[in-house]
Amino acid sequence: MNGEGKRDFRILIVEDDAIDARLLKRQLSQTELSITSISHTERLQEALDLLRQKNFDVVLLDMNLPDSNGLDTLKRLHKEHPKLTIINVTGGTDERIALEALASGAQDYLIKGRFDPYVLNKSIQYSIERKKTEEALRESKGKLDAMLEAISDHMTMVDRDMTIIWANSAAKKTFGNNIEGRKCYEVYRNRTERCPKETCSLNQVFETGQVNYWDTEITDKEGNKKNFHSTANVALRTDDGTPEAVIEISRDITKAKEAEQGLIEANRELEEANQEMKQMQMQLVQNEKLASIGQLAAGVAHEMNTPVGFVASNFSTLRNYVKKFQTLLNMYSTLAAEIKSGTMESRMGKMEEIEQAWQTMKMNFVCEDIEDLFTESKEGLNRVTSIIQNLRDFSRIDQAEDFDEYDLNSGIKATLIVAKNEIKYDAEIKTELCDSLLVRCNSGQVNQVFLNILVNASQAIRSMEREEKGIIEIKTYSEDKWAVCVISDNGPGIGQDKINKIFDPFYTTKPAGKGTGLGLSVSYDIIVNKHKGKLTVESEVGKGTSFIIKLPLIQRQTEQKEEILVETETNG
Amino acid sequence: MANITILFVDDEEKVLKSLQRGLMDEPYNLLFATSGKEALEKLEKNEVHVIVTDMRMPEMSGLELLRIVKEKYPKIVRLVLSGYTQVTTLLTAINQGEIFKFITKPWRLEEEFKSILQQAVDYYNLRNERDELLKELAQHQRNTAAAGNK
Repeated sequence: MNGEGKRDFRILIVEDDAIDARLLKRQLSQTELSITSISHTERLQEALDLLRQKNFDVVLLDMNLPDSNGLDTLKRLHKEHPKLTIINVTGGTDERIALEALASGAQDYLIKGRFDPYVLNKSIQYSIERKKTEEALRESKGKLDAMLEAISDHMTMVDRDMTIIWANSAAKKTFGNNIEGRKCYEVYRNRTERCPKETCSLNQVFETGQVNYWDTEITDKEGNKKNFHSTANVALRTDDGTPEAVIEISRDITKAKEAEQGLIEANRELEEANQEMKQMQMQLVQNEKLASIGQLAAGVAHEMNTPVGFVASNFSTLRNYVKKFQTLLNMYSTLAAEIKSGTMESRMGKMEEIEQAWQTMKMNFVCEDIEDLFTESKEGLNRVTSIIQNLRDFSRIDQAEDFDEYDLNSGIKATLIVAKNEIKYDAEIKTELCDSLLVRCNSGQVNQVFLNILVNASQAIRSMEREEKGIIEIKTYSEDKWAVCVISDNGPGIGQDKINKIFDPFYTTKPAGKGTGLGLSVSYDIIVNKHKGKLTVESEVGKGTSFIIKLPLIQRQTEQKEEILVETETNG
Repeated sequence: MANITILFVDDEEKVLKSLQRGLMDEPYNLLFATSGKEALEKLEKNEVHVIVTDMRMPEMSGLELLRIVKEKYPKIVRLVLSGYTQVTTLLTAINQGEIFKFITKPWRLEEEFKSILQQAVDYYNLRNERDELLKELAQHQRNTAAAGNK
C-alpha cells in the first residue's frame, strides 16, 4: 500500500443499524485500501459534531437515521461540509432517489447487500477522485465567474433564436437584470421581431462560424444612446460543429466617441485657423510683391519719363521746324513766280528776304539738327518700347501660376532693365552670362527673386555711403543638372549672427518702413518650395555677399539630336 | 535788360539736346551740363540767371547741386526738371532746395515749359528790379540824410 497513487483513508460510517455498520467495516478491511481510521456514528448530529473535530476523506452515509431522514440527511451534511466526499449506502432501491441523491451532493450510491469489497473499493476511490475534480471545477468556475463579473465590457451569450441565454453583470447593469431569456433585438433595438439577416452581425457569426467585429449604437434601459464596439465568436457548437450559441463582448465607446468627436471638432478648428493663416500668408506675399513693385515703380517711371520727355519735346520742336520749312517754301514759291515775271530788283529783294529769314529761323542749325532729332527720338522710342517689353516679361501677371520653359539669362536681362535705375547710382553691374540656361519655371516669380536680391545688394552697397560705386556681379552657368545664377556684391556683408535669419519672414535690417522683411523669405519659398531649387547665401563681413540660386536644368534634347545628325553626316 | 542765360543740367544728353532745339528761338543764352560738376564749372565762367536741373544724377544729385547754387549764387532762380514724382522727392526738393518750380518729365514744351521759363525769367527780373529799387531807395535816403546833415 505504499505504491504511487495510493493514499491513506480516514473513513466515517454513519449508520444506525449496528449489523450493517459491522458488515461495512468488515468489507472495508477486505478492500485493498490503506485505511488509517474508521469511525462510526449512529446519528447525524453525532456525525456533524465529529466532522467539526476531525477530518475525514469519505463518509459512508445511510440517509435514514433516528434524527434525520431521506434526502434531508444528505443535504444537511453536504451543506455543512460541501467539500466532503459522501457515498450514500442505503437499503432502498428507488432509482429516483438515487439520482436525486447524486444531484444533492453524493458522489455515489451503494445499495446494501448488493456490493462487495471490490465494488466498495472502486466506489471510494472514484468518489474521492470525482469530488476532487468537482472541487477543481468549482474553483475555476468561481474564478471565471469573478472575472466575468469584474469585466466592465458587456458579455452576453445568444442562441440561434437570438435569446440571451447568459449575461454578465455589466450587461445587466446597462440593460436590466431581467435580460436573460429575452431576445437580443428586444433588448438592444427595442424591436418585436428579428433584425433583417443582412444587418445582423450575430447572424453572420452563426452563419460563418467566424469571429466578427463591428461598431454599433444601442439604446440602454434609460433610453440613452450609447456607442459600442463589439466582438462576437462562436461559444457553443453542436456535435456536427454547427454554431449553437454566440458570445458577444461589447465595449462602451461612447466616451471615446465623444472624445473623438471633440478631436474632430478641434481638428476642424485647427484646419480653419491654418487655412486663415495660409490666406494671410498669401496676402503678405502679395503685399510684398506689390511693395517691391511699388518700390521700383518710381525707378521705372523715371526710366520711361526721360525718353518720353525728350521725344515729346522733340515732337513739339519738329512742328516748329516744319513751320519754318513751310515759311521758307512759301518764300521760295514767291521767288519762283518772281523769276518768271518779276524784275531783277524784285528777284534780288526776294532773295534777300529769304536769306534774312534763313538767318532768323536759324535754318543752318535746323537743317543740320533735323537728322539728329529723328535719330534721337527714334532711340528714345526704342528705349520706351524695350522697357515696356521687359516689364511685361518681368511680371507676366497674365499667367501667374504657369510654368514655362524660360532662359534664366533673359530673366536676368529683363530684371536688370527694371532694376537698373534703382541700382545704377550705387553700383556698377557686371554680367557674365552663359549662352543659354533653360529651366521650367514661372518666369514672373523667378524674376521677382532676381529683383529682390539685386535691390538688396544695391541697398546694402548704398548703406555703406562710400565715395565710389560698388560692384554687383551676376554670373550664370550650368553645373550638373542645375542652372546656377550667382549674384555677388561687394557690400558690407552679413554677420554670422544674422545670416541664419535672413530667410525668416519679417526679418529685416532696413529701417522701419523701408523693408517688409519678406523679400528673401518669399524668394526662398519661390525657389525652394515652388521650383524645387536651392537658394543659398555666402557672406563675409567687409567683403560682400553672394546669393546662389539653383534651378533644375532642362536637359536639352536638341544637343543629342545634333550629335546624331553629325554622326549620320560622318557616316554618310 | 541784360541777356538772360539759362543753364540746363541733366545726365541724359538727349534731354539737353531736345531742350536746345526746342528753345532755339527763345531769347535766352542756353548753357548745358551733363553733371553737377560740369554745371558748377559753367557757373564759374558764366553769369547765369536761371538753372534747371534733373534730380537723380550720378556723383552729384540735383539736390546737392541746388544747395551749392543757393549758397554761392543766391540770385539764380532754381528749377527742377525730373521724372521722379514721389512725394518725398518733391518735398525735399522744395524744402531744401527752395526751388521756384518743379517740372515733371515728360514735359510739355510749348504749353508749359516755355511759359515756366518765362515766369522764372520774369521772377528773376522782378527780384532784380526790386533789389535795384531798394538800392536806389537806400542811396536816395543816404543822399537825403547827407543833405539834411549839411
